[in-house]
Amino acid sequence: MTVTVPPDTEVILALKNNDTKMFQLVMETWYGSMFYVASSIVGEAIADEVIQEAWVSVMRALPKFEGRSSLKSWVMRIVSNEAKTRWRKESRNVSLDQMNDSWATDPRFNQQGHWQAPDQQWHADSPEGIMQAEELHNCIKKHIDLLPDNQKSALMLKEAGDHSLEEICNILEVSSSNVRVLLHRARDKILQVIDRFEREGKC
Amino acid sequence: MLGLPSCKEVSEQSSAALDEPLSFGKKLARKLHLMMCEQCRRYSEKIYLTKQSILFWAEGKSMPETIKQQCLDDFEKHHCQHKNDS
Repeated sequence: MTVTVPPDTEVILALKNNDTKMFQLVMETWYGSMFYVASSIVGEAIADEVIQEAWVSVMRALPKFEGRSSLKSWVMRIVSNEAKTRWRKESRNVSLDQMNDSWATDPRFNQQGHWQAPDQQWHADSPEGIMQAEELHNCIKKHIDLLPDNQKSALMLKEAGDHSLEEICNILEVSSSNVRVLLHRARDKILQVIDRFEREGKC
Repeated sequence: MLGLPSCKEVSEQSSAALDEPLSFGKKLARKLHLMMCEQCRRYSEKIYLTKQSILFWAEGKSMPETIKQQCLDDFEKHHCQHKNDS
């Protein structure tokens, strides 16, 4: 699963020289991140179309790439821009109304905001170790899908797309404090999913 | 806890600190809280691991053959066009 993409300068040169092998390597390695960035904005049904359009845009714009960010971040921004354009056409509506979840009355904390009960450490201290069980992959997918749209979008743009908070604000058209709240709630939800899986071995 | 942020607030800060540096005051208060609170230390480690695990999970998705082939065709087309133009 761990494929290393060569340094940006090498990749750019190869792509400009029509190196299909390099294109395939980059396209396959970044696919997951691109898919979840696109699907978090336009939904899974048209995420692949967005990725295909994004790669065409990437190849067109590559000669103008100035290297102000990493190539992957630049590609991810193109994916989210393509997805956003598509989203506008589809007139989907991401609403902050979905922000009313149970954070205010989270039973893990007492009235003073301190932990109610001790929790346990996880069995591993690396993502590879944590994510060994295939069932946990499916479980995380299931719970990310269950997140409110805005939390899911913020989470995927940040973790899979490595977007800055400012970029996420612009894409989702929400304030920076809202993005922080969305990110924390989404991460905390997935943390609880992993916690439960560690504790009970089930989703 | 002696005017320090609550565990709930520290949990939010632990997530925020993954995205951007906290202000000096918040950073200091959080550090003091973490020194005294094992559970928040553990939460802080877990939220960091959660962030990494989500990326690990996302990167694990493999590309369907059909879309792979379409992208490769587009790549070839782009270079053919580019060659013809120059």
